[in-house]
Amino acid sequence: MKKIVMICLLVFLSSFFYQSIHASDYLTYQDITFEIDGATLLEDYSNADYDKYYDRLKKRRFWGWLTTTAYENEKAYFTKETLYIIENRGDSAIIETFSFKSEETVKKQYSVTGTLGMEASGKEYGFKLGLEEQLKYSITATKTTTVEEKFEIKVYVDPMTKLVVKIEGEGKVSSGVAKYYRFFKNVKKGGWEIFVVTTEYYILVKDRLDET
Amino acid sequence: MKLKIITGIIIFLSISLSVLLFIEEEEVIKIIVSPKIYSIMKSSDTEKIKITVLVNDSNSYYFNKEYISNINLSSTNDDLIPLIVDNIDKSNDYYPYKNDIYYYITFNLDVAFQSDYYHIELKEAYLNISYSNAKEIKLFIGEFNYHFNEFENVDFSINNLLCTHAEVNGIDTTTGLFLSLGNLTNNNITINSIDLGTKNVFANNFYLREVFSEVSLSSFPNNILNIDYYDFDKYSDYETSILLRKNNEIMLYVPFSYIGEIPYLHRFYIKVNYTINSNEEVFILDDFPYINTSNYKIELEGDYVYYEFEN
Repeated sequence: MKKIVMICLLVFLSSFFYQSIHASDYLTYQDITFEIDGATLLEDYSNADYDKYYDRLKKRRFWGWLTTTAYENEKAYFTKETLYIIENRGDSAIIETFSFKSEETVKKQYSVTGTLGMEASGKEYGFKLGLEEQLKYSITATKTTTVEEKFEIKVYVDPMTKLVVKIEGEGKVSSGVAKYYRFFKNVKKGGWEIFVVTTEYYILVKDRLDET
Repeated sequence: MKLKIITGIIIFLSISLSVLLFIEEEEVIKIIVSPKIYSIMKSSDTEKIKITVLVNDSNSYYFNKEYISNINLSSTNDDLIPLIVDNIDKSNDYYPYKNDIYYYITFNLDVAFQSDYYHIELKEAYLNISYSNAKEIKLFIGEFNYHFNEFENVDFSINNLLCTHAEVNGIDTTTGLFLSLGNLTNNNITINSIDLGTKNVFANNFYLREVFSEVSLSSFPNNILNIDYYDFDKYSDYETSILLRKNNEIMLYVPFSYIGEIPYLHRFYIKVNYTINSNEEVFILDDFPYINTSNYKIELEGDYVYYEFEN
């Protein structure tokens, strides 16, 4: 009886981990909002959403992917974390040169749930088992660049102030669910999402430091 | 047995050679350039000039540093700026365009001379590359401004800096500059005008104003300036006088005029022209990525320049 209870408990607990998300860093952004009402990120899919989208994938395959797209290139706005801070707690102004790279921001980012996987190839991340190739061309066609660009700027920081670089931006989000079959057996399933940052806006702000 | 092995090897080699013969080499190298405004202030030796183009075959010798014998920028006025190739970046990302796949190639370049104070201004700039096999290519890259400036201005502090943005003629671009300046001197300063490091887009100093509340990225110039309508196509040279008292701060906003061929401006340096103790001075603010985005995208495809070169 104890064994049965333990097994039930384990099954119950595993259901909480089933939709755990593996993602690039866009999910750490402070805020992401969609242009249209009702659109959600993969991390906010409800169980009912998953059921609804899996219903679209009732057929079986001998081998390979079955996919469905819930949101296709939906416009989203985001606020990223502060990029750079210079604090001057001294009693005279300081001259600082600060620099930052933007190479990892204007590009595609991925996340998956369930038993779908992500893999790294060099510096690039992507879905495992060629899932991206099975998605619609309009989702996978990258029209952004990953060119590295280093920005340098000289600034003067007054006493008891801090300079902060904030980034706001726009992107396109596509998401859905997928199942992977081997010999007609569904061996992997879960949600997928591609977030393409299209534009970032940089803002330099000076704030006063708390004197306490 | 030996005969069978030798026959097998001969068949294998024959098939391999036949396959190699049928692999077609790209006959022509296709290059696409999206002309843009380069507005760079040299602030360190590690900073590179980055010129990105799209190519159909990134493995061609055209994009191999070892084959480049000379590289420079030229203009229609016979100006010639010698360059040095630091390296050439090749991206695996692709850009689909008119049924072809193109890859991003970025030339990381240095100007081949040093200066304490020098200004390069090429309103129509061409990248010229010569190769060790005597071939040459010439690509129109847009407008090129490069400012050497070792002089450190200590009259001002920068407190806030952003550009408002909106679609102008269907392209998301900067529409005006908001900056907050602190006067670090013990003298009053008069702000006369603001210039942008480009001749395609101008700061419209007729509307240079002191503002009394912070401006957000998506604010429209007419709302900030409290006017009914702002016309991005109109511009007239103008100087004003805005007083910045000693040890004080001021918030300024100036909208932009798009009067050139290149319809967008993302990253640029600025010059604040001011008077202090009856002397006219200039405060140059390093180029800042007000908008960080690719200049290869659908809305800019109409301005792409397409080249083909013999391989």
